[in-house]
Amino acid sequence: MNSSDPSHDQVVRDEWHVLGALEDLSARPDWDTRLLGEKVSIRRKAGNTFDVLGKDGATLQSQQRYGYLWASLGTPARPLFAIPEFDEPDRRNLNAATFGVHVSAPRAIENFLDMGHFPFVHTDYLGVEPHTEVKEYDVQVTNDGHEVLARRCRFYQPRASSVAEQGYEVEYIYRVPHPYCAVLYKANAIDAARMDVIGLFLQPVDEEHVKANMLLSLIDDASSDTTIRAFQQTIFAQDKPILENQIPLKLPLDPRAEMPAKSDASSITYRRWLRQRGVRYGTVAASA
Amino acid sequence: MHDCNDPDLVPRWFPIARSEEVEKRHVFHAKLLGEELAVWRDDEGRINAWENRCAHRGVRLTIGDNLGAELRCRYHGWRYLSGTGQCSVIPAHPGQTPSPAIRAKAYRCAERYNFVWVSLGSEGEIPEIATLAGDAPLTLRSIFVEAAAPVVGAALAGIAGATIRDPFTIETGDTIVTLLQPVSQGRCIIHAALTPAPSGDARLPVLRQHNERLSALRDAIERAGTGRLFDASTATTVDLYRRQVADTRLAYCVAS
Repeated sequence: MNSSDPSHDQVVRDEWHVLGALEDLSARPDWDTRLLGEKVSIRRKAGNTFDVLGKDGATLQSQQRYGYLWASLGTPARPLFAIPEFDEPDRRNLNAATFGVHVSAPRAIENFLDMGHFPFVHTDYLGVEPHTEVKEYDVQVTNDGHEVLARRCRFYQPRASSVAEQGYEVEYIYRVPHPYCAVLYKANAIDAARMDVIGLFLQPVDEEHVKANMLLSLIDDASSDTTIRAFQQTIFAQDKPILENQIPLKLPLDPRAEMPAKSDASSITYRRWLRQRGVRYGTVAASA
Repeated sequence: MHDCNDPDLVPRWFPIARSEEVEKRHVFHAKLLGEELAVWRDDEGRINAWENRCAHRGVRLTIGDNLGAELRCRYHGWRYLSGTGQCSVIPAHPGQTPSPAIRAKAYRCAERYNFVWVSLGSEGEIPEIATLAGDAPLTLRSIFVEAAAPVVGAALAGIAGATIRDPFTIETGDTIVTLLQPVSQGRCIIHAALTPAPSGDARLPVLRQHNERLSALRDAIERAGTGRLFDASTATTVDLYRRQVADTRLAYCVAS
């Protein structure tokens, strides 16, 4: 295959990719899905273990982590990124939603990192006018170049979660430890000393389609699963029509293709990081 | 970005909507030569035809809000001024003036003969159409056709009594002018206008009659291509039309 063909992107083939929530997969014996445009077959075995087969029937490397099944079409050079909080004994861990979205994975990650849209897309939940300012925050590439980290992200939110009763300025930390996965840390509304964790894990179905899985790892023993899920699904349903109306659906990596503002520091760093890693799948390459 | 490289086609003015379709406080979606357009009328009546993507993160401006003097993007609330397309407000940075480099790409547009016209280039004028120059014409129902504009133009030239003004402007009767909007390479919209506009109860039967004629023409084109549409009585006009198309640089929408 032509090495310049973005649909054959070895950097991305060698990553671990999410294939669905174990809770959903366990409910059926066999499941065919698509990963990077190729058919992938999931076969359930005894004891809720799975074989994942590639398009030629060969067994792919796979693992279960964070309540999801993961597999690689290539040879992963590193283990799947760490979320230490997930294993804390008093955490509520659940898959809040799996949404199909007609957009590239990098566009969806960028939306997840973005605070400026809260008052306009998540009106009266995650933002409200006139509280539209995105204050300066810190962005860096960490972990030997394997992760984008944004800290001191602050935003006024009228209803930050399913348990929030009043508006307040919320502080976020964002991690992007994988081209198509991001993790958000958000001050807990009940216990100010701890952070709720929200993971966005994107299955790249093809260059312009994803299945977006949302992991919640919360300090919350009061709300029902239904209440927690309903809140996140409301938020996600507000983003979906925006994402599906972006032209192009792939993420432009040329710095001149779109005009950022200072508030887009995390987006700018994420695009540069994708360029430096050589990620092509789901992106529009920078012109020479 | 439009996908047309024909130097005769890009700067040319085309009708992309009937004036009445572009209401105040509304954003109208159109497509011309493969380019998606966000078309909107400000509260003073002025028309804008912009590339249908926000300069910031590419979201279609047609899902945004027409605020009367500005168009606001649905994603981050960035606002663009009527006329220039200059970005006037970035809500994430209140109190700061956006860079002059941030603007919606505004195309030339104007209203004439009760249509909204757009040119993707910088030269040329809206064609003079003497038949429509008098009182305000009645714009007929526009018809979308799954065929390239010159294919449809040849079919229109094949209507008895047709007069060709140019490859996209054909008079199909003493008082009716049909105008072609090349949406993309293989698709077009037939616009049409009639003058003088009938009044009162006479209007609806006229709209229906022409809707039926043009719908039948569309069905014939889509079913058969152009080959079997013509009879001997109009062959000369169709030949003349095809020669005009051949003399114009229209590679974009002419099958090679």
